[in-house]
Amino acid sequence: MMCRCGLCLAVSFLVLVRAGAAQANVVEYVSQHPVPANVGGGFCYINVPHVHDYPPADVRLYRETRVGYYFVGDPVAHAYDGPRYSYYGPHPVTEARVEFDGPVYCYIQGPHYHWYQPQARTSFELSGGAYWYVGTFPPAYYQDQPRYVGINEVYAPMPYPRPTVDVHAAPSGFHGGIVVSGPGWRAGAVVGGPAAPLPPMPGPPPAVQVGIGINIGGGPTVIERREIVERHDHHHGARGEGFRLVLPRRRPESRHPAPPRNHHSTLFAPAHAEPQHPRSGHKP
Amino acid sequence: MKRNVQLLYSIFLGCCVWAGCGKRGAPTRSEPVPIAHVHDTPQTDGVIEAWRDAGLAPEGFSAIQPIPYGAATCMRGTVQGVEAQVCEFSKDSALDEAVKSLRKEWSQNAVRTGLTMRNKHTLLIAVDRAHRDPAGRVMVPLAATFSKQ
Repeated sequence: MMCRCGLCLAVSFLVLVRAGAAQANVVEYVSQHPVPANVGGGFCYINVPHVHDYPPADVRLYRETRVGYYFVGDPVAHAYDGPRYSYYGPHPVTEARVEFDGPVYCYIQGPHYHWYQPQARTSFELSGGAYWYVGTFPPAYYQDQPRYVGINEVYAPMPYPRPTVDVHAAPSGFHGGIVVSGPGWRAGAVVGGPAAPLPPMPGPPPAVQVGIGINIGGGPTVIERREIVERHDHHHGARGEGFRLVLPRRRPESRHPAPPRNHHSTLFAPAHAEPQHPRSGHKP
Repeated sequence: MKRNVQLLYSIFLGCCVWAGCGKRGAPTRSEPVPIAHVHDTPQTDGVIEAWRDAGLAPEGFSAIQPIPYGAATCMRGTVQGVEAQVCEFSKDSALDEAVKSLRKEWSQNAVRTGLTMRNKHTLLIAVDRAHRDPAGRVMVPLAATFSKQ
């Protein structure tokens, strides 16, 4: 009798296991995205809605839309080798072919890449080799910030070639913080000049802060005001270390400062905004 | 007697040939099924030709019988290891149902990558079951070419 009961239980268990296995995952994506390492790694370049049998490796790099996951991270950090555009600081996500239910923001601080160019109707300035958002963020941006700013924790420890951006050319309308270097910004992460091997630093100097209310260190750096931060990062990599100076230029705290001092600044000029391609270098 | 047998055999053969000739117009299993295209929508064979023009290598495309998903016509084949199917629909409701049933099918039989794309009344279904296209290098031009039709 016991034996029959045991057999029945085992059969029931097997049936349940089979039923569970039959219901495979179908995860919907609406953009290109990194492929998790446990399913082979690399990058999926399908830029129309599609499905996979695996979920995102890290949901902090995505926005969940009605029709699937949209990747909001820096694709270059994930072995992406397609056309790319340089950005500096947070900005609205303005991919032309994607329509969101509401505004979606990129919360990545400092220099980073996206595969899309800003749309003409949005307020971006192309200056110093990157697009800077010079519009005003609505309250929704600040409300969602605690939820999404964690994306910087993902990229902080990742050494990958970030765009070269001249922060001296920051448009006056830029409301974000200027971070010269940060956790994980090493190797190709150069701000303020072309990439070049840097001399070894004499000992670990402390982080230098210029401005108000800055929090830098190992964790995420959230900077709300215009500040210039000099950070000395001492990760010993193969191609020079992540330290680059910036002129400690104080900027007015006003949200409506004087007109741009930099004559190179261009208010959204598509003619200057050729996509950068990995094989053509990262020239701004 | 022997002559009579030969005569009967000849008559029998003649009848067989006549009967065979009489069925010339009817389709056999090996003959291609005529495609009933839907108006004002990309046509299945046109899509396959466009893929070829775009440098892709569609192979083994043929009309599916019986026609699935309530479509008017469907063709199926492979493009560089990716299974592709193009269907024309007379009714939009049937197309929507097709997409739903595909999603259900994919959830039951895990597919690494699946894609459905609509262009007017034509549906593209692309599936990578064999993990041949992990980066979507085939699926991207497949979908892009289809959307331009």
